[in-house]
Amino acid sequence: MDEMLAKTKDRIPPVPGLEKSWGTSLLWTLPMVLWALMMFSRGFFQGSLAQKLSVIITVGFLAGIFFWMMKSGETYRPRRIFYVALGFLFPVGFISELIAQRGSMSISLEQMLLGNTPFCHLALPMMALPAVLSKTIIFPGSILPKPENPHAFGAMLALWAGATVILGRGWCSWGCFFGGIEEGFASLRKKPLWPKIDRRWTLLPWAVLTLVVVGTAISLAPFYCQWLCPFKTVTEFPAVTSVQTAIQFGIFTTLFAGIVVVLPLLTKKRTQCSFFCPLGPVQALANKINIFELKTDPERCVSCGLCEKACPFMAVERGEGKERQVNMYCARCAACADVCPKGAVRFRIKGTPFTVNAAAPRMMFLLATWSFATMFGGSIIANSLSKIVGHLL
Amino acid sequence: MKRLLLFLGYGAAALTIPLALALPIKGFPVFLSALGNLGLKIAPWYSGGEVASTLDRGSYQIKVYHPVYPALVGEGEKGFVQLVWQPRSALPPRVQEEIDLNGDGKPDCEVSFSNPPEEAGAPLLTVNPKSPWVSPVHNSPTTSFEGILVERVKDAMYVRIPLKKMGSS
Repeated sequence: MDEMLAKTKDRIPPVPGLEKSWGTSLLWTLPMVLWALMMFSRGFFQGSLAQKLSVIITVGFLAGIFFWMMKSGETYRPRRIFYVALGFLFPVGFISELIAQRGSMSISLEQMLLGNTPFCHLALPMMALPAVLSKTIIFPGSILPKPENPHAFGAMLALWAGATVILGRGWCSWGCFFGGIEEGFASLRKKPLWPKIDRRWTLLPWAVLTLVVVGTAISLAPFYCQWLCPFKTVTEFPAVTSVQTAIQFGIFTTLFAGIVVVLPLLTKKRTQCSFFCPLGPVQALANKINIFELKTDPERCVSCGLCEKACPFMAVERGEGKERQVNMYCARCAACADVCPKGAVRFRIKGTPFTVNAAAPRMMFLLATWSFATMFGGSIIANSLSKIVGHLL
Repeated sequence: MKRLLLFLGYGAAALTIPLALALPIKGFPVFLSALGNLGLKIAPWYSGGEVASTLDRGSYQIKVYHPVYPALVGEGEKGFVQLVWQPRSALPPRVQEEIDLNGDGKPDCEVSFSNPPEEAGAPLLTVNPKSPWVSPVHNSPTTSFEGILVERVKDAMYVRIPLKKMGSS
């Protein structure tokens, strides 16, 4: 991907208006800085020295990333830096909080009985059927946030619903902190060791989704969280007290090593997100109602296939002719748009022609997305940094 | 028509910006309030359900919950009833009580559990049924969340007595 980007970097920008002057870029960045300051003002004015420093670093970091996107017209590489930072910093903050509260990463029966298990968005698809049939949430947490459990079902649902309306499956590239971990590993090699993957693997998440929905309905327990979630390895897990919990822990760590670390390293693809995550198909369906899309202009496409190779989600495929098309699995990471030497793949507003103002859809998408990313990802980054800075001071 | 589509498309796209800004300021409180009105609850086999009555024993209280028979729809064949003794610090080293679980004035079971200090190991539960829908337990500890029998929770002791549905074998 980096090599491909380097090859196309010296191109004459075929899409007018993507790259901006220093002044214009600064002008666009200013409101985002103000928004970030507004979001983190409490941590700055009421927090400790570590929190103040972490707010300054976070606001500077977010401003730098957004300025880069404005100035260069690139989206993928600046986003990746933000997203990988989010992915790797999230467990730092989360685990620090767990250890401060419980002294361990494992969740005890006591915490489950008290409804203090943090809820995560990956469990959302399993919750829908019981919620509709019996108005119950099959999870040992709480519906509304409380001091002992701010990560309640309702809080996560609100975040996810808002993000899904704004971003569609862009949640998987700009919001979901778990994806940042595997994107980090996928970025380590310049070229994939395993470049060809059968496209049919992208159907696997639908099978996982079906399995966890049915498994939850039968077992009356959050099946994915109990048996399949690779990210238990870097968040929390039931204390290993029996053969069953030992097997569960073994599955979590094996899946994490396999589809979050090794396969992304070998393939340069987001393998957990593309071939396993049960929320992926739900987000892909959400793309259908999202107003933004990445689309190939058939008149500009020269069928070079760079976009297909660059897409970490295998969401670009050959169309009826030779031109490439972006499909419903697109996570709006814009790797395809940045790598295209002809500017054929572009952000677009659904239902509008390519001929109208080429840069405006990207700008509108970035303003909405970055506002959300600042609020959600930015606060996670600031919180985790404050733990690290606090430890260092 | 093309102009209308263009206007609607760009209008909807522009709306996502104020939506993203309103989300943390107004969106969350409104959403959580709406969610609260939907009447969603944590599954009672996790939360224990709702408290049916409270028995006052002077130095401590016993909360008796409604029986829970886990099922996706309706009620399952097996279930439990949750009892909470608190404060745990006021309990004797061994608790033994007859409990009326369904509020008909007659004891349905005799519950007995040990209340050892934390370092002395897990508490053990014994249940002697006096009603046919209560399942017996003999001096057993909690093994897993699904198999919770007796568990220390802060300054309380949570007990889950296994039940079977009336009429089931």
